[in-house]
Amino acid sequence: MSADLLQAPLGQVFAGRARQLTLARALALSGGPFDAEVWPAKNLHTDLNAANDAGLSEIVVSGTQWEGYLVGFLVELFGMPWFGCGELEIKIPRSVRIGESLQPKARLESREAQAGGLRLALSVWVENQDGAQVMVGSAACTLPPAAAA
Amino acid sequence: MNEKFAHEMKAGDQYEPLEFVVTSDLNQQFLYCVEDYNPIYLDGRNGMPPLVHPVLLMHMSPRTRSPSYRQAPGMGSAFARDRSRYTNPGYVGSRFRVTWTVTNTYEQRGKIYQDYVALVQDERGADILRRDLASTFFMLGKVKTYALGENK
Repeated sequence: MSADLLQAPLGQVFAGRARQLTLARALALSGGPFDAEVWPAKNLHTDLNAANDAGLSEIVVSGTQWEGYLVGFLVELFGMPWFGCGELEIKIPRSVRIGESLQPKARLESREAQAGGLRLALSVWVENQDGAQVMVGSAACTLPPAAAA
Repeated sequence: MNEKFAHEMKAGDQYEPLEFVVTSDLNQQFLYCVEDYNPIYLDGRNGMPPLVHPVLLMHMSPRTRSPSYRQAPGMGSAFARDRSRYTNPGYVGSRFRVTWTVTNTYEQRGKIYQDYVALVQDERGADILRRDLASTFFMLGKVKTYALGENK
């Protein structure tokens, strides 16, 4: 896990890598397995006609894509303990268009010793190239004593 | 298993489970999606296979993945909020099973809300990911965004 998370003062902000959300990667997420008989599958995340049928003027990227950015970043921060005790609560205040650049961020809110280890709580968000938040929420993980030492 | 449209499901109802195997190819497809090439998803550790990236399990856990999910004509659905808990690592090569149980339904400002629990377990029956999800149903064309659309 990130040693920074153990030593940082409360309020410190951590930033993950910014990534541009391209059509190719959106299709890879929402188009089904690459080896499917027909690829990509047509839906409002991959196909303009399907999006139009749903009343949308353009395809809308699945929020799972940037929630994936955020969770990958939390794995970098917490390390393997995330897979045993990671907690994440999120909302999506606005949608994202193809071509936007997104960056996951986290702010250390609390660090508390508990019976099972050290519980770290973060506020988390994903912001676009303009600084607008496209995902907001909180995350927590209790590090076992060995990991927190 | 059930013939109800999704918005007709009530607390206690379950969607039909889904089983799937995560191959190395499928896992790496999702690594490409999120540009995350952390070695833990590519190389095994301590004699274990690579880990399944969480985004793949998230992608497979909305109720729309259920074989029994049926959306009424003219209706759409959208994600509202999500609380996820990771309880065990999932490994490449494993078979996973997702179950969905409706926990609450209610109407608010003209929209139907449905809360449900998605539970992803591996072939040993170990819980890997539990998600408490809230979603809305609405008539198509009456919303401005579909932040986390639930389409298959």
